[in-house]
Amino acid sequence: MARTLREQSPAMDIYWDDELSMAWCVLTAPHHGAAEAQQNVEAIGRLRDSLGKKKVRVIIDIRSVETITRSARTLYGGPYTFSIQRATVLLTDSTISRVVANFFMGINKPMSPTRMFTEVEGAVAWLDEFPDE
Amino acid sequence: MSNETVHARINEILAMLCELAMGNLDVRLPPPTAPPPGAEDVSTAIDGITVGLNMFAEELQATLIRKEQYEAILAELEQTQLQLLHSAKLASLGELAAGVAHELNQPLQIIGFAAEELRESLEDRGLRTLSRPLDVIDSQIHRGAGVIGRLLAFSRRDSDCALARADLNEVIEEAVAILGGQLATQDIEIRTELTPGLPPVAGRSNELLQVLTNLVINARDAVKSQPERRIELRSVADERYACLEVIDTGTGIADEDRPRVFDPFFTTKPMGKGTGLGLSISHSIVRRYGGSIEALSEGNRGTRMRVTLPIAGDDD
Repeated sequence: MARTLREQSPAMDIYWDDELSMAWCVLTAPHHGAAEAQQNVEAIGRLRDSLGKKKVRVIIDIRSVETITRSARTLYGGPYTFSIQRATVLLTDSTISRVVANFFMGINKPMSPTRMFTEVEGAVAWLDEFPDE
Repeated sequence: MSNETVHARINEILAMLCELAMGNLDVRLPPPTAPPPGAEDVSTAIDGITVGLNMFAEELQATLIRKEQYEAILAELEQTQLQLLHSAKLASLGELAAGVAHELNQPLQIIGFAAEELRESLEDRGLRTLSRPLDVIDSQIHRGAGVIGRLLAFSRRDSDCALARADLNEVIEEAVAILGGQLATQDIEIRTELTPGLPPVAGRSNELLQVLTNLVINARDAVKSQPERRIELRSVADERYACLEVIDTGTGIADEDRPRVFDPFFTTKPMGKGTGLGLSISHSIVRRYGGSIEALSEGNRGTRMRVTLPIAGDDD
């Protein structure tokens, strides 16, 4: 995939894949609180604005994440995220990242369609089901 | 992997689980000194469990906070409901009062006209001395008209309430002037503690005097059988509200009675001694000006009645 770094926040790098028309967000910090979540969703919002899209399809790589606080999860699953993200893949590998992803989807119930994947191909195929807006 | 290594690892896991059981949800199992070849160490699974527990604990805490908030809102709603119920009772009472006043007013006027005619007739015949009993009728008609006027005032919803303003210190001083002598004859000490320069409040002086008179009369009834007979009248204010307080050394209000003291016709006085309307009418008056009236009492250590009224704005 041909990805270019388009946006950055202190806890996340956002790459844009022109070919797939998807954002690849890599969470770089192990611990995420409300401040990090706010900066991250704002960064995705800036990306969406710069692309002139209504919403973007997003892969969020949470493989290096260890904790995400409740306020951060609430923000990630809330209306602002819904307004900018068409569908979201949570990319996991470790037990911790899988627990975080499952918890987020099961308890916090994000407003936009969200699924957990452990491999990129399946994630891309699933996101492709959602029309690019 | 040797038995000793496995044993040591099990001890580490047990120690970590004990920490977890004691509520330390941030505890992590240290990575193994000799990782098992080709297999994921148990530490990653346990770390996943602790992360999950941590998140559940956060959610539980948030749920408890929400529950407390809902309970506070519910309590507020119940309070509002009680106030609405009280307002509805007062509205019904107002209608009843207006009806009674109207029905009484007519015969009273007819009696007045008849008495007037009789007086003229007697005077025409030079029987002026016989008309003296008519003075008694006149004065009683005047008294009856006063009662009707107050009943109508109770039922009326004035539209110009916002324009009224009163000085609480003056109201207190007037109440002392009216009732002080009577209280002195009953050996009741009355004290005042007035905050100087009190800003005017929303309300009409005569109506607030009626409120204060009701409160002082109740206080008088509460203290007169007590060894210590004292009533204190106070005024205080902050930036938005001014309060007057009537504090007595009486028997206090029983806990079970306190929610009902502003209900129409509720009284703890002996039969024939109280109508149970004083506090109800006072409550109605104070509410009309955007204020509140509270009955603060601690068992049998006396009662503190507090009337809070908004300070009149420049437009009032």
